[in-house]
Amino acid sequence: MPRTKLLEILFVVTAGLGLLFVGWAVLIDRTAAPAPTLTTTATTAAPITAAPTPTPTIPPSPTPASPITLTILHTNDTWGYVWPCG
Amino acid sequence: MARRATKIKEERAASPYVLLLDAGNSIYGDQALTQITQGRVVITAMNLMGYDAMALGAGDFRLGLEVLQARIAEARFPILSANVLAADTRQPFVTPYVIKKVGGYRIAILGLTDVGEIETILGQDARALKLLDPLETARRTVAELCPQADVLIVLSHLGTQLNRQLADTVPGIDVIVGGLVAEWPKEPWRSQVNGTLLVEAEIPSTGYAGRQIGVLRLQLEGAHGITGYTWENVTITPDYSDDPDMSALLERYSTQ
Repeated sequence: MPRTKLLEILFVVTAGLGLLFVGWAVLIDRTAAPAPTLTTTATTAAPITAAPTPTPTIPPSPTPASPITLTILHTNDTWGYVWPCG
Repeated sequence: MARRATKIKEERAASPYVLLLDAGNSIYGDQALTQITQGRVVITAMNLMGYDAMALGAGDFRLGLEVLQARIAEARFPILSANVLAADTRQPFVTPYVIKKVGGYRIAILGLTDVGEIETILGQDARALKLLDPLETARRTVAELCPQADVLIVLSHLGTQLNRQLADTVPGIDVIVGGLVAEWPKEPWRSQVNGTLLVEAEIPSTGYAGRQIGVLRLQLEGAHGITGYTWENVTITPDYSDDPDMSALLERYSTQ
């Protein structure tokens, strides 16, 4: 084979290999693991302190009172009658 | 009224611990003096008798909102309802409950109103009100009141059937004083579920109203709560004399 022809073939092969290498490198780059995220210590915002709600005033349980009789007088539906009829 | 006042005075003379309650539908009716005064004579008389609380009944709305509010302002006792609100503010139309101290015991009294008829009675004016389901309201309010009271009384104008349902489904109520009665009350009804006592006094009819007064005596024994009771339904007959103070008041109104 003439020497020029041999050089030509060598050049083509080398170029092809070079292209292959470049392609592989690009492929590797695109599938590379994502860059590790930076971990930062977040600053926790101070909780919003709600306005203090007034504590309902519930009377404390009294000491047991003495026994009593509670009389409940009850009426209903008297219709505003002020005079008896009949 | 004059005879009822006599009976009430007798009871107060016999016992230092008396509560006088009305379960509603008592401000307005078909008697002339009540109509002419738009219920003012009734409120004045109830003030004189020293009523401790009254439930708002649907029939009381027959006065109309403006007049009813005027009567409520004149009452020297709270007129109660936990399930009627003002539509614009969503605040109670009247006081929902009171807690009274009697003989060292905290007595909570909660009012409930029959809302079914109010829209019919008020017509378009009913839009000024927000009417809540009474049982749901009771469930919520009773839970709030229980820790604050030794005895919890519901003054309820819901009717016998709904009052019995209230007694069975809402724990924590000691006594329901009921209005809008379905059957002539011969004795108290007691819930088998919660032990709540239901007492009712009267089924009114034209020409016969305001003549019954229930007398419930509860034995309260400190931390043991209610340990016993007696009840009677007293008919205010002509055997009772007219109370002079009440007679004078009614006479004044009659001659005005």
